[in-house]
Amino acid sequence: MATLCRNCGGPLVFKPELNKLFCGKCGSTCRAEEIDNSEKDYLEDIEAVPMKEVYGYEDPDFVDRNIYICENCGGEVVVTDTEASTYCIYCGNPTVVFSRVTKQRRPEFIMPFSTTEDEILNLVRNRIQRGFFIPPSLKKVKIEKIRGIYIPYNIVNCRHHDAVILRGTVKSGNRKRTEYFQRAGSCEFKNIPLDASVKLNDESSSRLEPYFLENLKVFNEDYLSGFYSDIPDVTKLDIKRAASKRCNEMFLEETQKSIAAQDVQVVANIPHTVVADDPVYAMLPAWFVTFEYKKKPHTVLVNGDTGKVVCALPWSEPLFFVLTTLLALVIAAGAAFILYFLFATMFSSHNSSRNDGKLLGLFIAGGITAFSLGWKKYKNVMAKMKLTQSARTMNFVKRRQG
Amino acid sequence: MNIPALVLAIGFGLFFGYGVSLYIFAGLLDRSNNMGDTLCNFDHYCPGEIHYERMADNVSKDSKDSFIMEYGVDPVDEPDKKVEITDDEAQYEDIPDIDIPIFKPLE
Repeated sequence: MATLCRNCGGPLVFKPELNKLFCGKCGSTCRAEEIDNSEKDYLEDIEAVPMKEVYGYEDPDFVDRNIYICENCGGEVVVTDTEASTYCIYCGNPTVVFSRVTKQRRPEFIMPFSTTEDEILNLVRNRIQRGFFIPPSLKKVKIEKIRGIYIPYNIVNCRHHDAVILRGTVKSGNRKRTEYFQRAGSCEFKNIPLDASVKLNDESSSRLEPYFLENLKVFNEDYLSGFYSDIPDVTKLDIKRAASKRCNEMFLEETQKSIAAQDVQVVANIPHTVVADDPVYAMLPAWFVTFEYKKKPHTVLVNGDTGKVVCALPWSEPLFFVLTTLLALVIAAGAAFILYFLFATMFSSHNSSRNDGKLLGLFIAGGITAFSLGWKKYKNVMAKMKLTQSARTMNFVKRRQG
Repeated sequence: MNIPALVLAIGFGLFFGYGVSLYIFAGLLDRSNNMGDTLCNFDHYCPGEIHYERMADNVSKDSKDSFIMEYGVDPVDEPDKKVEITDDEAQYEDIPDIDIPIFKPLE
């Protein structure tokens, strides 16, 4: 259960707009640090019990479900293996599984939500309204759920070393040639936040960054009240892998900048990352806005501190293809007009000049470059749309009570 | 009218037109529908810069093995170690066999 109001005994809920705990019954407010901790000692002993132990049988659909008794109404609150706070579906009160954030895995820091549910709903609706290629029917879609969830993060410092062989195209005079480059070096990365929840896709959570760590506060369970939260379920190896991946990507991106060539590609590298000391365990805020469109689930993620919206929404395919074709025909007509005279001159051969060849080369190179860049961008948007429609992310949000 | 020139001009023109048009509208689609698709980069997490032990340009393609043997190991971390394995798992060799879950004991 949540911490109770010292005036009336009502449950206290953290309100981002006040940056304080708020009692819905009597309207009183207080800071999380002002709460008397003596009662929490008792709450820390109440643990979530596996469903199998409570009912004597195991339902395959509820393998990772546990029963936690709501201290307010005595109702059974169903929580997963990793949930640390939720709502009681019987009395509607916020419920914090204190034992999970004190005895089991106590976070060192928390970044309280600084954005409210209403602000986020307006923000997401505005973004949906503004999109040129967003279908009109989506602009009227009903938001199914909005949930504020504290995501567990490991904040790590790393030392990264890499030996990289790169290949690039170098221009000398009128000729181009492929050259090979070697770079070996090391650097230190500080405060990389790594999502510590297996159930949440790292590709989605990493796009919620940046989180400004100066807004972190020393962990207090009362900030969880009124929000959902999870405890970490990653292993040391998961942390090491995630840290290595991030460091490797950043190192290679930076190293490529040191190469004075075009189309630089990594041929081979030997990355080695050492995660320094113990990771700092912190809870960072995110809003999850879910809706269903054309029978597909969609989840919009919003950074609970900065309000950064992360999603790729469905698009109006007919509008896109009609406009692309129309513009293509207009450009093609202009290009064909120029090219006709170019080819006609070249075929007559007597008047053909080197400049004609250059112009033709420019048209072909320009067309290939524009097409490949456009195709890459188009494929990226499609990939991000799949991520927004991921059932895994939807399950991360929906399998919670309340 | 030069028919071959006309056919080639239309063909190349259409290719060029579709390329440019796709580039323009894919960019618009990205801005319209793909929100927050950014990651924090090197400058955000690295307070300093990369200290290069070796920076060589226009090297021979065949020098790969000697380069990897010489520079493939972090000199600060493991000065005496020679690289023999080059697969991805090589970077995790300092992890113990038993994968211990993170557990923060109550203070």
